[in-house]
Amino acid sequence: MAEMRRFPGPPDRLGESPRWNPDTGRIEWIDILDETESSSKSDGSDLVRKALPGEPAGFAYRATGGRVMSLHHGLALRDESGKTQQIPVPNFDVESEWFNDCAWIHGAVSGSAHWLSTFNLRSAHFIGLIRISRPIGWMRVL
Amino acid sequence: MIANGIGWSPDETILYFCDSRQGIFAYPYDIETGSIGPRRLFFSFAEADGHPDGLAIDVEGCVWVAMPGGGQILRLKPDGIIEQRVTTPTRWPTSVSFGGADLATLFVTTMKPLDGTAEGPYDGAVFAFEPGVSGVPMFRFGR
Repeated sequence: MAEMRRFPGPPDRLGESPRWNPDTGRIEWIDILDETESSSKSDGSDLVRKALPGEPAGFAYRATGGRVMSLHHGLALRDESGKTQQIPVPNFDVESEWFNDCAWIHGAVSGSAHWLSTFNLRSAHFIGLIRISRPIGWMRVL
Repeated sequence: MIANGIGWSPDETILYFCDSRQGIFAYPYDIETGSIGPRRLFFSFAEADGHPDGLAIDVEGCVWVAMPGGGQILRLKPDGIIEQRVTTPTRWPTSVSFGGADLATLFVTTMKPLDGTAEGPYDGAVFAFEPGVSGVPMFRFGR
């Protein structure tokens, strides 16, 4: 196994959700507490850091460009320019609920596609997943 | 309980779901319908190992999971047994993802301590290394 290499950029307070962007050949990640998104070349050079409009939790890439982001206060679509559009979430209580990591799967044969985000309640012993399955819509699965 | 990383097995039949307080659960997953079956505890951890957080899946079906507090990344075989431990330069790795050429590099995010303990020199840095196996590509939303 090769040696672990440290990126030269400034440290995050709470780095999370690293994602490889195959279109740009860059690694991207978020800092939850500093509310930023960062990207760099695979060796850590050419760091770009941008502010986000809210506390991020995770993101997944969109086929049409940009990404869908799970925020602690909801979900949003964010394009490459940084324009962010909130996604209405039925029955979502911003005071007591928050999203966390997220991912998307697309069946290679069936064409079925599902988006999942881990999901928390702030004050209860509850964990869960929430799913978008077109055209079914939202469904809490756990 | 803290819901955290998620991922699918390479054959898309198992959904892995990390609860940082209890461990990683595995669910039978129906890619046609998106429905899940009864969960089983795939991996439970010792407190000294840290708590599981973000995860990634490799082409051999093993789960790589960051263990904040334990200063390590674990590679778990499909039966949930620890196959490999990779020590990180910080106690606080938070998540992992494959990338780079052929998805052969594992990228690691980390954080500064939130528990009042002293900050280490590499807390919050991003790391990368070649684990010797490639990752499963991540899917794109709305493809």
